Amino acid sequence: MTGDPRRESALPSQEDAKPFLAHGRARSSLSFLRSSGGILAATVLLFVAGGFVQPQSLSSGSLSGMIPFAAVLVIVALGQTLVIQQGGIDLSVPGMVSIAGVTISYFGHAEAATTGSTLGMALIISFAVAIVAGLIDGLLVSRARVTPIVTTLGMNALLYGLNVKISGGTPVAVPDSLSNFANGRLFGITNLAYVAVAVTIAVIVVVKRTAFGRTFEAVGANARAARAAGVVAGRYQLAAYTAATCLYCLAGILLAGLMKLPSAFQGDTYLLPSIAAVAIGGTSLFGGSGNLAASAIAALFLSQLQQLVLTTGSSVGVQFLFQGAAIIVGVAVYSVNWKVLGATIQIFGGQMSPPRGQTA
Amino acid sequence: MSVKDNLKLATGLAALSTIIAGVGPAAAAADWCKQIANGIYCAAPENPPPHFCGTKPVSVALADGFADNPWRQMTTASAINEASRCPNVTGFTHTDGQGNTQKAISDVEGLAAKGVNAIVVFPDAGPAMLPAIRDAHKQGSVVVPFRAKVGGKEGVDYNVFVGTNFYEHGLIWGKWLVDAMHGEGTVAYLGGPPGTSESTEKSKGLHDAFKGYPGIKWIGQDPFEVTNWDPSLMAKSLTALIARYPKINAVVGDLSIPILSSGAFPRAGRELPLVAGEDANGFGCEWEKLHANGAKSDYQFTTTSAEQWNVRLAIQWAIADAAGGKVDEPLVIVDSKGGKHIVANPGDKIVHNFVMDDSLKGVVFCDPSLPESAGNGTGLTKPQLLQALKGGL
Repeated sequence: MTGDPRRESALPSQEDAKPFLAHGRARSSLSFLRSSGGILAATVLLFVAGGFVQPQSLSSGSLSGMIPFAAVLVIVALGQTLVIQQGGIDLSVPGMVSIAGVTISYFGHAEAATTGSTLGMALIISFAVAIVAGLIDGLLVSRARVTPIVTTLGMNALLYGLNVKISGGTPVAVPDSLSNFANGRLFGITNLAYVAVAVTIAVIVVVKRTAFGRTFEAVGANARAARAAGVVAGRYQLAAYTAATCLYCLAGILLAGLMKLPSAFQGDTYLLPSIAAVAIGGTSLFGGSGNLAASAIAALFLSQLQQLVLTTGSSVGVQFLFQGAAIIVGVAVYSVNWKVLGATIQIFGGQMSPPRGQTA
Repeated sequence: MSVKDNLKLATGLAALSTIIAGVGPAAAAADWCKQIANGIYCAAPENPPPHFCGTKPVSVALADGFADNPWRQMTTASAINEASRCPNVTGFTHTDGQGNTQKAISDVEGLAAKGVNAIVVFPDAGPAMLPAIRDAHKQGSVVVPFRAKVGGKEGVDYNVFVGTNFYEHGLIWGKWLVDAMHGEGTVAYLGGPPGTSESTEKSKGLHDAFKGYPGIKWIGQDPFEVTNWDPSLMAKSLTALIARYPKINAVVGDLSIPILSSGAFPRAGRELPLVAGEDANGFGCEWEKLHANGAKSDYQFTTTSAEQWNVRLAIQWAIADAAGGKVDEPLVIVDSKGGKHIVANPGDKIVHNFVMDDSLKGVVFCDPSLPESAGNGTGLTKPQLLQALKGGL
């Protein structure tokens, strides 16, 4: 097996990973800047330019309203990145974010009425639903070889079915403890920002700093090669879907706490932004090495962009134009082979320019 | 008697009872209604029955474009309750278009093909529903679209259109705000999806109420801030408005409870403004909380009924046209405090709204045992309301 060049190049074993990790730590800050520098610069530019165009977009009122929603999108985007890294795509985001809001509010509400304001059982039920959904998704994709689009689309419908069965579409308030936490602040910054940063760091550490995580990325890069090398690739796909649904569940719970009276369909608006954040963050939609930090920054970028456009008071049409343009530009930066494009333009430019000696 | 004979006798009795049930309207009405949520929505028998019931036995259906939200559930419960007032109604069917125009069309066509006599349609898809409605009408069913306009001609494409006056809602809110703000201040209106006629007409009512009050300044988008009735987007729109305007005196909203529950104002360190919107239990309960034990708060609000009873007039017209009845009695809605409101006069096809809460006058509806989104002016009893909010209709 060790002679297999595919394994040597793509799949470090746990032993192999140790020196790699030691080396990786030394260059991690550089690689982070290299891989996330583009979106980081774009986000900084957005804040600075936004401050000039619409100074109120940087007011404390605007930022304190935007950051909690950005934190929710960051967590959702991390989950989507894990799945896309494995060459999949998760269309069950709306269903999972919505049902998390319903389970936490309905079971939390009932629990608060009978046992005080504790949330324990409601949290357990919410994450149990997420784990079961993730396991089913993962098993269908990795074992039954059902395409991710079909699997997660079906799961989305199942989750909405369960949602309507529990809630009848009627929202109820979340327990005060959750609402107080989600709307609370520490050192003047919303608690949700700390949660988003902590979750982002935790996921990055697991994926980038452990042998499990490195193998996880390698499986995403080439599952066939991984299987040929003896790695149980399905296990990593299963882990991706389960971790992703748990992250959506967490995001749904926090969003429900933030809204206090969450809509039973609160996740409806999170599917496209989650995929856009992954794409803008530079993770290939065909799988492979994912860029979790960049996805998180891209989620912040998209949230601030939306808030900036809303703050300018632009019409809905202009809002859509700005957001669409940002996504296209963001994806193009990573997807277009600029060298080839430049060469093509040169060739066409050369052909179109008049031959020497024939100028007027 | 042998077992076989016993079976024959039982079958015969069952058949006889079915025939009797079919002939005796009162028994039939009770049967279909009792099968829905153990009969909780069934109306008490009236003697004589209302005039709109007519005399012919009729089957009734409500074809909903979408059914899974609290407003629709309360509306469906109201429809069942209204139909159950007629002893000659032989059955009630509810279809859910699930927000899918193709399914909604197929539902209406399916009901007509089954020979349902009176079909009330909530045509969410608008004019796209007209061909199906016209077909059902041609096949002999009485068809009454309500609330959302479909185009076409009354009497030709369908029997009657039953609507509401959204402009009037805006006018009521606007007049209250003029008084509450003493003719000066800033007002923002959070509406639904872009171009929706409901929000556009309400906005016209608001603008007309503000005519002659130059001190009232409209802020945000005109005719309305687009929020798609999504609480998250409402919170983001409010955040943007808060950032742009140092003082927001009043906020108006169709789906108005998220103005409070989304926490946009407290997050920005702002006091809650004046709020005008639609009847929801959470408004009054929040007001009572903020004003408990003599505490002072700027938060004052008014609501109009959310009109979950609009469907009652549609059901009356549909049954009347199918069973030879007459809509010649006023439609009266009783709120949870026992207040009576005439929302339609005899023969009306358009309902009129009424004011529910007016905190400045001390009229506040709050029932802590009901969810925040429940209405107190639905015309349903509390057990009916609680059952309807569980969904499943």
